[in-house]
Amino acid sequence: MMALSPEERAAVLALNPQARPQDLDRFEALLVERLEAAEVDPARAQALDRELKEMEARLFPRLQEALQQVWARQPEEPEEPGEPGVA
Amino acid sequence: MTVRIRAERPTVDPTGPPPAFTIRTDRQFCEVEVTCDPVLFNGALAGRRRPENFSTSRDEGALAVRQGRARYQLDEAAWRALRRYPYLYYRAIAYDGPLPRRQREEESLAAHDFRQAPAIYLAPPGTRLPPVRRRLSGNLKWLRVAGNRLVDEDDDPVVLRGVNLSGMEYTDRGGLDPTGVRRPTSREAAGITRELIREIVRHWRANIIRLPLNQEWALTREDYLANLDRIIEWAAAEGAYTLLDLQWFDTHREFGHLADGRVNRVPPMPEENSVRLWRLLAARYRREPAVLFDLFNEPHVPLADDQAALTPALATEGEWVDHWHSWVRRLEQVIHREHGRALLFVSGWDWALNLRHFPVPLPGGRTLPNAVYAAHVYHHTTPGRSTATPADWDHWFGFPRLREAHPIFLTEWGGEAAQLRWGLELEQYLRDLHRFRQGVWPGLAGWTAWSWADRPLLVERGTGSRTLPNGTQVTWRTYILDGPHHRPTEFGELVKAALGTMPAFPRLAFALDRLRGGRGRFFITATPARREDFFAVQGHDFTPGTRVLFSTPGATVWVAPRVILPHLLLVPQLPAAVPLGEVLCEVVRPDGVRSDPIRLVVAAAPGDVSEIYPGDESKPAARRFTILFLANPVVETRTGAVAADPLLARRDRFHRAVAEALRSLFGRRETLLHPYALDIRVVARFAPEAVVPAHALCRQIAGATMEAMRPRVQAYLAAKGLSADVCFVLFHSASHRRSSAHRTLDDAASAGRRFLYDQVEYHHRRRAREPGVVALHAPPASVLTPLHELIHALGERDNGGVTDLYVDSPPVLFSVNRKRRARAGGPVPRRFADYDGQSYASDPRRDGRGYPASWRSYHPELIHPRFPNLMDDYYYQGAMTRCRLDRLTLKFLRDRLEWKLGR
Repeated sequence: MMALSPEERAAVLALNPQARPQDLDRFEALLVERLEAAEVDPARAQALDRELKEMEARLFPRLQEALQQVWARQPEEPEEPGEPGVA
Repeated sequence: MTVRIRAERPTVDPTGPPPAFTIRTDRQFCEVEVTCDPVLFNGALAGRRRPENFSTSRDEGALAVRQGRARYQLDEAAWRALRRYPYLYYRAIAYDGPLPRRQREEESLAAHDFRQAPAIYLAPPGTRLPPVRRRLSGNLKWLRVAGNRLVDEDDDPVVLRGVNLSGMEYTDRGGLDPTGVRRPTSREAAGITRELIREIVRHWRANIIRLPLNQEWALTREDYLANLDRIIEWAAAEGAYTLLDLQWFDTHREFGHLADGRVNRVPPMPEENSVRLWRLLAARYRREPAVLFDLFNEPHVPLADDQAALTPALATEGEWVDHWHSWVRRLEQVIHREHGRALLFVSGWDWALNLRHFPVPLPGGRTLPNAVYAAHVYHHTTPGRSTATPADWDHWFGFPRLREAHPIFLTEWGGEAAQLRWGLELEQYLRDLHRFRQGVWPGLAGWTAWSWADRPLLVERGTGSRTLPNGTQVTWRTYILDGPHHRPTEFGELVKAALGTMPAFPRLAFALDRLRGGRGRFFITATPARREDFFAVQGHDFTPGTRVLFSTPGATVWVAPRVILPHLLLVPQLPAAVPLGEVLCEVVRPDGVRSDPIRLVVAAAPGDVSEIYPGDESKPAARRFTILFLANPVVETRTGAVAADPLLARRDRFHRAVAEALRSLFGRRETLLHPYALDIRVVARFAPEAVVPAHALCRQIAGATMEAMRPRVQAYLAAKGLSADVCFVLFHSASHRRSSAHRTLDDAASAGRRFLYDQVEYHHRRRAREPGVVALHAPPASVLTPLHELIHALGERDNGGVTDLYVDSPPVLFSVNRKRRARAGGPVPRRFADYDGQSYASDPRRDGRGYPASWRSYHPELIHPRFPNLMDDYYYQGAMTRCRLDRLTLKFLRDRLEWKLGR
């Protein structure tokens, strides 16, 4: 999983003012841990799911809304030359 | 006191009076020996001494010593014979009693210490060999030997292919250049200009030029060295390395005659001045990665009528080979002492044909460091020396024992028009030796064809002439041009075509039978043509701007691919403008090179599965390393419900996302996959499915993230008759767009390659029980997302993988690329880890921006400080496309891939 972009981080923290940057760092670290735990320790992964859910509800209730705002501003395709089609 | 001798001047003008020497001794008499090569001080070689290489004062009688001192000036006749050499070596012998009854004889230098012989340097007054004042090498990277590969600073395999640009070894200053103009330097008289270098590198697409040298001129002429600098700089500016090759000692010595009666100027063995030459050049170019060193052109037993060779007669071939090996060891020491990173090319025995006696052994079972073994091959059918067939090539230089452990190189090969078929077969043989085959590198580091200027020729040459006012006829050798370009000979056409299809990466090489007559056109293959479906063209050396042309008797349609990789063009969806039914399809590069047309039948409707790239077709599809792109049918929400993935309603979005992913995997700065691109099979599947839990391959998790469920993906693939090593499950979501990956689960029952990581044993396995899986949003969030996630997915659950570096939490799985210090903010250990017998350093400053004070994590060293770690928080690194893997992770994943590709 990639890190959140600066725009995404800023939007999440702006819409969730109760959260500090270090809370977001902790949330991201838990998410990485959760993805790895899912491979070897389902019980731990479930516990981390619960912890993430609780943290999201408490500190980042508007996380998805914030990210969707950023995504809505992004182009559908990466900005690179070489459009397909009939030349 | 014994005897000492000193030259009165260390440098002597060869056009001035003879050099003089002062001898100090307590003996009554003395004599002085002067020679062009101190090996001749050895009495065993007395038979090789001649007036043109050796002089002794004994011929004039004993020199009387008065008050412990004598003076000797070389006589005029000897001086005339010897003054054409760059160095003259000398020693004194002193004794008591008249000559016939010499007693208490002493030598200033024992014969066996000839390497320490003092010398005088013969050069015009004011000669000062100029230092290199600027960097000549442009953007070229340092090259080094790693196992049987040549690699660059990023550890990427490198193949060098080019030509020999002869002329500097024999063209004297003041000669006529190819346009008939008299020129003041050897380079100009040889016709070596910036335009010529550009023609070779840019138009013929060479990335190495082998430059034969004249030892004497390099040792004595300022302008010669300055012009070497210039050639090196021009070649490097165009992107080519220069291989300096000791070809001739000088233009006056003859080393016998060849079988066709021609004078042989190629010496059989190096001489003392060769040591001086390489010391000079190694010191001169110690900061220039563009300069490579070919120690000696063609070592051989002196020809029967060779009167100039100074080598003692040896009885057996083994002794000769040992003699050559001892020279190689000496030259290696001299060069590496001056220039520790010098890459050496060591010629085979017997005119460089025979590599069977190599590598060159060193004490303790070691072999020569940073050395490439080089062969020359021309068409011979002589019994015992045949080079006519692949079996012969295997015998002389292509045998596994050498090339599986050391890189080999053909520094000369070439032929006349009558040998074209042989040349085609040899070129094919060489191609096969410099491409990864099932994850194994066969050992060829490249070749340089002979020659731009001399027979057998690569380009046509003619003769120009004119009559001077005094009636004298002068002639010169011209080049024959077609417009601005040199006209290739027939064999040159073959070489040019081979260079013109030089792969961007070593693995991206195709069989020569795809070339028509060696004339530079190429064959292509393509997927089935279906409107609105993927259309992929497989070939080689596609360059930016390459287009696909469809034509029928009534219409032509040009299509610009979305993805242009050296080996693959991908049109995400074939446009409806392409006519249905039978069409001709061809590829046109921006430089005008066109493929041969292929006949296709265009269908109206897309299919479910497309094999975008077939991979290694020498084995069944099921054994090929496969990357699969799968449109996710159903998604499991955070409440546990299932819903159709909206992606299945947007086929165009799936196709474009696959195209972006391929560009990310194979077309970015990170070269992890590039060497193996031709071996990797790429398949895409887009098919509707019922909305049932079994088809839910992805699920939503916290943090707006989507997760692919590996066991369910494996079950789904099995049900559909598909298999993969890595499966990208593409999804679309308004709420959960963040992509993620899970590692591969290897099949522990399949063959393993053992490795040690910090002394703990692990294994890479040939096969996967469950593929690595990636949940990838369509479209991908960034140009690097597919590659970043693939790197996670390539790892193995229990035997090592790659973790994210932008967090500090302890990795749950064994990860090769992150460790933790004993305490937060503590010093970063210099050594990161030992992997497979090699120690890897840490990245002390985390991409240059430092580790947060609260962190315990630290990472392996970067490939280069300019390339931040691709697994870190690359949003903070400026242009994210600069990011690469660290050195340890790249090696680890390449080992893993190569093991799997070898199944």
